[in-house]
Amino acid sequence: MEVLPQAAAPLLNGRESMAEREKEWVQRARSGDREAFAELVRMHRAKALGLAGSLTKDEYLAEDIVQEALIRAFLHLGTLTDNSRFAAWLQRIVRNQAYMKLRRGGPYGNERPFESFAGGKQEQPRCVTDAESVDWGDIDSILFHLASQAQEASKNGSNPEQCLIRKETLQGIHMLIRCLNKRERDIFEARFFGELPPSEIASLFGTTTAGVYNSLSRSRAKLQKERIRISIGLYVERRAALGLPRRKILAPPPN
Amino acid sequence: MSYALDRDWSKTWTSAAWAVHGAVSYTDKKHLTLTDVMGFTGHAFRMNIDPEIMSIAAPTMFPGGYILRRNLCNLGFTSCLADPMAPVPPDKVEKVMALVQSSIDRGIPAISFDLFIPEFGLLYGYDDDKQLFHGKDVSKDGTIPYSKFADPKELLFVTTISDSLSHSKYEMLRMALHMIVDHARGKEWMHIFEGKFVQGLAGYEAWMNVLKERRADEHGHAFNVAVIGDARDFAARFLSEQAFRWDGGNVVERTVRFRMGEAAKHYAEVSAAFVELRDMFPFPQGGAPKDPDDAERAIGLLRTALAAETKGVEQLEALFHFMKEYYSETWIN
Repeated sequence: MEVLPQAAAPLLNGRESMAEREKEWVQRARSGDREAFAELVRMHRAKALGLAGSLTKDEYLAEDIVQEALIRAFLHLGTLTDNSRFAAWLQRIVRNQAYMKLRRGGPYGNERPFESFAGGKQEQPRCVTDAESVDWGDIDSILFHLASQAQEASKNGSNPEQCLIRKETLQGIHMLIRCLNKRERDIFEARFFGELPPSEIASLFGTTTAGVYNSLSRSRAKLQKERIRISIGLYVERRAALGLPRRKILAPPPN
Repeated sequence: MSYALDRDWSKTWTSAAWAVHGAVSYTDKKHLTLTDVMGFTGHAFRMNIDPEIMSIAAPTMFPGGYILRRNLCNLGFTSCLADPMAPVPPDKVEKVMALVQSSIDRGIPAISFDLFIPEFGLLYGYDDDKQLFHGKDVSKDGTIPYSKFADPKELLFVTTISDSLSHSKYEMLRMALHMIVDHARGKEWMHIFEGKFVQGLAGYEAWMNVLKERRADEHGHAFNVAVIGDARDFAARFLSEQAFRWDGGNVVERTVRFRMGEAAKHYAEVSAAFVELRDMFPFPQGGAPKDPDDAERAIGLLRTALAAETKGVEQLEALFHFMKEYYSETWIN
């Protein structure tokens, strides 16, 4: 039923053994195994990639879509409620992104570059860091990978401006995540990537469910503040670049 | 009739009207006084009651965007509204900031909420280099960092004045009466507050019930007394000023003069009852609304106020119907 992109296919070989492995990873993650935890993250990304691939029938387009979906996911962190399920939500974003791309006729519009006819088996690396060396359980690593990919794409790609914006966005997200302390970040990542229920995160980090909720809501508040601070800075700069007035103060209202 | 003739008419406890008047004073309609604004926006006639404990929040618990838009509409302005919920996404923050700044660039402050305290206030300046807004509400005149402005507790509320339209005095009065009568009869759109508050004349019954069951929160009760008493002072003054100003000879001028004059007398009675209530329950101390004697005396005063206001609303209702379709000047039947 699903046409899987080649890159993702090895990860998803054999649905049954997959389900069993997932069960095992959850078990191990529960007992505090970080390796298993990273494995869960990889799988969720692979699932998203599979979905995007089946919708677009194009491996690279699928990669793009998942990347964009992840960016979108980051940018909308502030609107995530405690009860929302990350995977389902990411899938919805992937779906929307895919449909949008397809409606527009793919990333290249009506023109498909020559290489994309050559099938999925291109050998030349599309990015500085290849997907194999990325630790998908680590936000820093993921962001670094995505950013360097975007940079590479801006050098080779058809729309350098868009790629540059993406690179800057990714660096922005990276900067945002840095405002959290280590523990907040870990809990945040566990929720964000692992889609683990707060009770499991609590036992993973040796805290209470209430503690997890507190940490998550603190993290979200911090991220929101940081996002706003950065975007206001950019807004003010943009106004300056447009030559808009810097300062205007009317007479104070009476009484 | 001992209503407050000698009070300061440049101040009000209704911060929405204060802010609207403040913004309007920067436009071509600067001749409108605070009394005019209180009357034409309907704020002088409002009563929004929390039927549980007479909560302090009730007077400002109305759909702000809707009410302020209509307020400005009544005064002859088109307006813009921003009210995204917190946490506000960065793209919306930028749009709201641009709305505020463009209004200030045109020389008119933007109306906002919860600048320093949870009441309406005005943003009258900005400084991109320091990333500060200059703002004022009833509590304070000062600066607000952009980052604090962008991080509101509930929603990022801004209303700005766009165009000034040349509404006639007839349109202004008709639109005002429409709001006043709808509110008094409990027909105003309440959006998310529906069912939580009791409006207009029915508010009196809800209020008396809270006192009867000795459930009134001292602080909140006194605040409601202060806000509504202040509003009714303005109502009586607005009506008698209008009765005086409509001094022409045609059927419209005559009818307005008569109805407004009659309504003014009734509202003066309401205002007088509230003068006594304010003495009994001063804000913020609050008096003793749970004390049986005080509660019963207050219920008596509210009953008097309700009877008078009911008659006043009947006059305004009749005038509203007339303003929609004037009678014949002369009828020979």
